[in-house]
Amino acid sequence: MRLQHAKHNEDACNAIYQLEKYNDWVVTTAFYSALHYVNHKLFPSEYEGTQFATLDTYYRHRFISSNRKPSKHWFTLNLVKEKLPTINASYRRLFELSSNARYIDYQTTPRLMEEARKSLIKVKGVCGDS
Amino acid sequence: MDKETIVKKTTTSNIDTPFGKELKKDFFSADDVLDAYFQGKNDGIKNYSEELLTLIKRNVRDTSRFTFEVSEFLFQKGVSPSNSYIRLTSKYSVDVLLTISEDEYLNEDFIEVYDIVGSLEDEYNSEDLNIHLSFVPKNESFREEVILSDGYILNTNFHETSTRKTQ
Repeated sequence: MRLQHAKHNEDACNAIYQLEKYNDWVVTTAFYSALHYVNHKLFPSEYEGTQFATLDTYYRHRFISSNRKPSKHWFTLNLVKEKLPTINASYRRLFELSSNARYIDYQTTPRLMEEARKSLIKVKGVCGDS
Repeated sequence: MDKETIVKKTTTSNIDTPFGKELKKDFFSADDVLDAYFQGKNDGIKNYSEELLTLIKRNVRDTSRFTFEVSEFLFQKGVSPSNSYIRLTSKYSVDVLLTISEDEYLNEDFIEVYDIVGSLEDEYNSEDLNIHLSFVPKNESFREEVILSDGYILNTNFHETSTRKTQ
């Protein structure tokens, strides 16, 4: 299901890219495609001796009674850093291009947009089933 | 029986008991219990406030050191960050933004910075502190006021080499 969702978002990203006027949305859809690709790659899996079906269940298990829990985005970023180091930079770049676009008034340049697409291709190369 | 008598009777050891023994002086009146409760509550609040302030000061200090190390590394690589911004998202969690030019951000060599940033985050992060750093590739549409309105309260301008609390 995650893989389907990743491809769905990737299709949206490609469709918006063709319109040639919504660079910020290309970046956003690229990030959310990558997010589902990494979720697909990382789960289900065993962590700390227990099998977890999804990132949500693992996140809840880790922080259910904690007042120190990170955001789910940062939790995912840290998991990618640890478990998928070859795409750490690409995934991180997608996250910051998407979440920090507000600080450049969503005026994402074509170069930044192409960088986001390049990063998604790298993430998909590692996480998508070929 | 008036209140004063009740207090005296229950806090002194001269009470006659059916067993003929003296009561020890460890009975307290309702007022004593209430006084103790409120004193404990105030002491607890005071201790918590002091601990909280100590924790936050330590976390801001460590985050500043972390930011300095990252920017030092960037300068060594020929990248010139222009500003850093720090935001406390909770007493245990801090976000850091570093602004650099879009050209430097898109330089192929810049990619390896993420591994260094990740390692430094691992070094500084603990049970009491989670630092998350991200970059903002500046262009002419850069809006510092949006960063400030998002709660980034500490701003370091590397060109002025000074840190100030954002007004």
